[in-house]
Amino acid sequence: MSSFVVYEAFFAGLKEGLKAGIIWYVLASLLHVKGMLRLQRAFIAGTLFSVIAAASFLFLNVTPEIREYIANSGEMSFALLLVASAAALLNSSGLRLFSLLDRVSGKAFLRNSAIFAASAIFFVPDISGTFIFIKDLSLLNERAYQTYASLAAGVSVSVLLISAMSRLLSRGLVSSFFELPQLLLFASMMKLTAGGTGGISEISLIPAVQRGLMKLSHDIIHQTFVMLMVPDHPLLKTTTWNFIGFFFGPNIASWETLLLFLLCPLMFIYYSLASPLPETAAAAGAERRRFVQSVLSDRRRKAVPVLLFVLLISASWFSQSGEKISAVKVPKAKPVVEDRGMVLIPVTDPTMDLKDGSLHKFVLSRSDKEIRIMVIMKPDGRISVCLDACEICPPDGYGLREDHVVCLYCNTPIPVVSLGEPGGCNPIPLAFAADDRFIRIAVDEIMKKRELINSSRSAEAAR
Amino acid sequence: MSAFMESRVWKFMKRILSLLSSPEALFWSIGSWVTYYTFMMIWDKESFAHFVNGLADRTIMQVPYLLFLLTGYLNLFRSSKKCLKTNIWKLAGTKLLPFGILLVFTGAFISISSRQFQWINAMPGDEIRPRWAQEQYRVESVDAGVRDRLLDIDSEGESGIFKYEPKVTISQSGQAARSIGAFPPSRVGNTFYHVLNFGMAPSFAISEGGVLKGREYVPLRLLMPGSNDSFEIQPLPYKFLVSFEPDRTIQKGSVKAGEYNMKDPLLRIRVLEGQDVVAEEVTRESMSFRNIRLDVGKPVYWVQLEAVKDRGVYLIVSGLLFTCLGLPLYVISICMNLLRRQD
Repeated sequence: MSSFVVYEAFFAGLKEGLKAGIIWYVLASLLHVKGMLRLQRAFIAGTLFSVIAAASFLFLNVTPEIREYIANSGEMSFALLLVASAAALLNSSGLRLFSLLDRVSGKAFLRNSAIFAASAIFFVPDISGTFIFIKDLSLLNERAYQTYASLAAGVSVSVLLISAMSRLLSRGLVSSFFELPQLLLFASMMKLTAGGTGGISEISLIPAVQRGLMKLSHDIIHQTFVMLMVPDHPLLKTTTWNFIGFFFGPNIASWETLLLFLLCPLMFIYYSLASPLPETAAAAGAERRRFVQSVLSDRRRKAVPVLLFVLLISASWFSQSGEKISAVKVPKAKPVVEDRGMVLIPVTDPTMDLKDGSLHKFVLSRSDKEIRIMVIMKPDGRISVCLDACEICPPDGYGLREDHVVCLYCNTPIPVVSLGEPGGCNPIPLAFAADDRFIRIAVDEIMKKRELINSSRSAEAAR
Repeated sequence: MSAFMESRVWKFMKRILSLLSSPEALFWSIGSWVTYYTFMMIWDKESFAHFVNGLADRTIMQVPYLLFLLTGYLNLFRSSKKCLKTNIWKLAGTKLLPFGILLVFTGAFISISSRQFQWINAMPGDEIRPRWAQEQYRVESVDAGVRDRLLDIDSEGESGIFKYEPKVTISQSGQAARSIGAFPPSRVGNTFYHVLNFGMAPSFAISEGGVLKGREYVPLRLLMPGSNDSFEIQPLPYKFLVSFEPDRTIQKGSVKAGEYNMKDPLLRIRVLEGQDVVAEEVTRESMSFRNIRLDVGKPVYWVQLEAVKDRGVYLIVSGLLFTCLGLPLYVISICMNLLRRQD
């Protein structure tokens, strides 16, 4: 068995099949209860369209730019679903956000188009990523058909599982927990937890979302400090720096971003529990009690998927914080020496390759002080050489976490593409010359830039 | 006719106001920003910087932001009016937080779009005047707050190299002297000042063939042990590299530390001609090479002041205060509302 099945391909097929199947079943249950089951055709058409569109990547030369584009599209489709679900949740909480659409919302053509577009937005990036992953796997495998057969087997098993699920869970029961907002939230939850693709991005999008929100939080705090004229400089260390450090700390940022992310679902839960009951003709007695009970029960049921979303995100948020976020690779710095005013770093040697996309650190000893230099190859193929310190924080240096570097002091994520740009929390860039064999950095340049560490002076140039 | 026109205009205005003061308009503007920001964040990475830069000078960014602010204030006004009629305590409980947030956003907009600032390097005796200010001030003294004697390991420890936060004293003729620290900034006239950076400026006198060519304080990026900087004196072809040297080395067990006299520091001066070291000496008095003599005098501190003219800062501060006050009140009000529903 193990020699025939390519497990990565099998699980990729199973994952995509389960995702499509579960969403179809929930959607079909909801449409069935509302008497609009025919609309499920639009979903199936959207999914088939996604498969056909994504299959084109099997025949194309997939460049790193295309991979990045697909990974970004996956994140974008999650974001769109989440924003749409937030809008729908608010709409169902009593706001009339889509009153302009009231006149046309009943038209079958529009409904079909919306479902088709939503399913295409959901599936095209995921299935494209899966096909590219499978293509990569098949190139590694001696018998490529095994990879595709394993993918098909995974999809088939998912079909069996969905079929079993549809027998166990009645449509009535499933649909009692869902309305359009809950369905969209459920879809975004699926995307968040399993929207990535092996070989292109992480399986879960949570780290990407955390990074984006952490950066937003850090940028807002930094901008507030600029406006309030708080110097981010060691001269504040004795009085204010510890206070500032508290706001830059990873725990606060993690909580802030979680709250920001869950704001809308929490608002929905609050409104579900606290909004006034609708007026009824039954003024009193058992009829009114029954009416109140049914409204409250319906609200609570509809709040269950939202509550699950909140719990799932909260749990994964801190498990990610505990494991993935702290899983920062900090390479050991290799010693380098000065040679006639220059530091020479070999591009490759038996122990390393500077072009492997990983973070490399070197240390130069001068006057009993150690100066760390970091080198990394950016996704565009250019090498970036920087001091292992920025102009704001104490020089704890940087580590590599997945596709970005992170400041070990303030936990700010820095996209690798932005390395080499001076200022803020970016590492201080160094001018260098490179050929096929060596990277050459003038010691004067290193000593000059070293003065910027923890000085805040970059902002002067940046402004 | 005029009355008719007025009535139509008024009706139109009322419709616009009612649209803008609706919670739907507020949520649409917030949702639009979230969508825009998310899109930028995924595809651009430096989305916040681009947003702030756009807010500073691009009408296409400023107009939606101003509409959002208008919508926010109108919504607050509408809902406060309703609260005022029913329960005044609810007004304080639920409206202080959004009011504070709106003030912060308003202040941020004013600050980002109209802020002027200038970084001024000065030494005692210099006159300073930002480009927008009428008044000129004289820097009376720079008190760096650096400890007189320190160890090179101090800069790595919690204690740091400072006795207290650095201060600059400035004055204007006929007025009392003003002290400026690092934080909070001090307002002098229409300008906020605060210390952004500083360093040491040793005094150097250079003589060639026994003739004094010049004497002046040279501001260098020298602040703590381990830092070094260089200067050139035109038209001499030399570059002077300067760093601190410890007066003595202390050893306790296996720990070694250099002790530095920061009041009258010992300097290592290397003279370079191109890439070649022509002379090197550790001194606090003078050094000679070829037919040149370099005399070192007692240093002073130079300071880098940030001067800012910002009309939004008071709004931001008061907004933050209201937000801090309003947040617990808001949470209490939500809890009370939930409890009331339970009853």
